[in-house]
Amino acid sequence: MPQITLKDVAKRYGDVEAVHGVNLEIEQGEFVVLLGPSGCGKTTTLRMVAGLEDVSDGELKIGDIVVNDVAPKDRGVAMVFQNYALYPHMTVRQNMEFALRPLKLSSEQRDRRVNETSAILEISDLMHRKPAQLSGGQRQRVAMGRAMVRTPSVFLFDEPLSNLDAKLRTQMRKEISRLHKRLKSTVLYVTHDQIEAMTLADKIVIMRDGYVEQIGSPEEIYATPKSVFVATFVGNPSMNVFKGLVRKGRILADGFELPIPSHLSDTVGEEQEIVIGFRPSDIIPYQSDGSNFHKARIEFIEFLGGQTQLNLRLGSHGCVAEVPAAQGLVSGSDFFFNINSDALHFFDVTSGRSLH
Amino acid sequence: MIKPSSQKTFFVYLCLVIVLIVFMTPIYIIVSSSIKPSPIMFQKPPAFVFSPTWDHYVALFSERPFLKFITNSLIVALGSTAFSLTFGSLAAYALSRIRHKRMNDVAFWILSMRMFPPIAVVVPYYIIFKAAGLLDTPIALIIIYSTANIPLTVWLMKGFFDEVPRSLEEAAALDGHGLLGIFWRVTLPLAAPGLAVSAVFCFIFSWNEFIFALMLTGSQAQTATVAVMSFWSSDAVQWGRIMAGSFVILIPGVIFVLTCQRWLVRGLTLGAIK
Ligand SMILES: Nc1ncnc2c1ncn2[C@@H]1O[C@H](COP(=O)(O)OP(=O)(O)OP(=O)(O)O)[C@@H](O)[C@H]1O
Ligand SMILES: [Mg+2]
Repeated sequence: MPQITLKDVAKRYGDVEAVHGVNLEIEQGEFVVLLGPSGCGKTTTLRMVAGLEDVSDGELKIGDIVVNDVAPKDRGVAMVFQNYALYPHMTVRQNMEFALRPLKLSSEQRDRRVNETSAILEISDLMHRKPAQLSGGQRQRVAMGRAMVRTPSVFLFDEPLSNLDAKLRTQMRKEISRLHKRLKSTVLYVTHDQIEAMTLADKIVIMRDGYVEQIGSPEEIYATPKSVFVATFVGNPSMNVFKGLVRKGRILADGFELPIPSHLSDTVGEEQEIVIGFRPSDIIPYQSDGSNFHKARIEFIEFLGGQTQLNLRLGSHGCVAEVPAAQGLVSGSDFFFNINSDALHFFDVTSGRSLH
Repeated sequence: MIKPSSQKTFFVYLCLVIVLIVFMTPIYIIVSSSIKPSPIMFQKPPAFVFSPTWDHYVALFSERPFLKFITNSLIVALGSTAFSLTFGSLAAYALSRIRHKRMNDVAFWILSMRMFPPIAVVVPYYIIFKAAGLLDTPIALIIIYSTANIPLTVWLMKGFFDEVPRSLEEAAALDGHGLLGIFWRVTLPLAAPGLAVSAVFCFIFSWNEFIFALMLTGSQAQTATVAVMSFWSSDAVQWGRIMAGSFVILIPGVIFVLTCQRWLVRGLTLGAIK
């Protein structure tokens, strides 16, 4: 039985529908990440699960209980807020004890839990400090500690790392991953950072404009995006997309053409317009001209250490390629390449859905 | 180049001295007159050097039950302050948190209570309290002062509650706390400076009020402000007694404000809610 079930869950603010009929099942112990651009309804969805927003439509279940009308305090969920929301008038210890108070534990039990949790998070030295006396990273840990002491069955995170600098973010990301493996709790995690999503998630839910675009493991999302949106949103640098026209067994695009892959020959008709996508890393460079190769002009080159990012002009479009560093490439010169044909993605022009 | 000029410092201090003179002169007159022997009270030019006397203070407490009047004042002022803070902050919390398009109207309606010229309602109050058997009781004054203090508290506290981030209350809700627990343990402590400010205003207003206290109390519930004025009769104005009484009246107010001030500072240094 799934731990959390969203069935056609929608949220309306007045006349505006911010989240449209979301369907999602989260299994016990699963780490699910809601990923999407700003304003797509991630926070709203999370807050509905927390009980901080009413569910306008649909059914929200935690375990086998419908919780649409259950108060947040009775849902058995804990949340880590983007701004941490630590109680500024309480010390770190008091912050954590405050979360335990409703459980009515004996004082030994309470102390033991607080001490255990603070030890795991390595904040034992900070217990007597007020939140104002902590650094951003320390506040982050305390916020997680406060959520953890109650040993809830479900953790909710709303962009918990977005206020940290890049290095600390990486470190805390690993920490969260480690904690999840250790506590085996169910996590629903909101972010717009795809690296966080890719590294942490068992399952990613891609959202856009209040709709769920795709649900899948990080590998599935990356390898078989179901829409142009997912294809271009996930992956950095993002996927190159071109419009193509099907004609006489080939696909004609601006600046290059390809044979129609066999698995697609039944789905597409003559003179149909489709969208072709390929990742920058699926461009295979060749040193010299040749009949089977595509040709582009190098506009500028960015060295990224191990990899080199080429910004190409292919026909009248920009296109990005990622190639091994030492290539002796010069901007302004021609670049000959092939595209890994297994890695091509095809989408419908109007709906943007995958044609596979 | 800007130097920390001694000229500037001089002007700052000059202004401070002028302000202090303006504020402290009445206090000086009260204190000095309260210990001046009666014969030299109105001597011209005023006597600055004289041998002080405690006669006025002794008389204040022996000729009248002044301690009782002070107690009455305390009961009324503290009672009204407690009552106003309790109900005022609850109302303010509701006004701050409930989202409804008519909520502003409610807030202004509460404020309008405060705009009544008090003298206009003295007679109706007199009749009501007489019928209710509350004339010459502290309860009557507590009720009246609260009608003025509650609107003030509501408006002050609403401002402070508006400043407390919602996310803290949401965090508390997810930590398993109910509405009352959240209000009592999270929101109210964070609005403590507001409580301190409100308490000071409520207390000072109730402590100083004169007209209602004069009209609605007699020998039993008379407050100190009214009692002091009883030394002002058609036969004689006993300035020494009045000044001694005034000085005694000053003290509890100062103590109360200083006590609240600690909370004020504490609240202001609670620090970043990030
Ligand atoms: N209280 C509200 N009243 C009206 N509209 C709202 C309210 N809260 C959110 N919305 C709208 O709902 C949509 C989704 O908002 P939400 O906060 O869930 O986005 P998000 O995906 O979390 O974005 P971000 O990454 O910027 O946090 C937005 O278009 C937003 O304007
Ligand atoms: Mg958000």
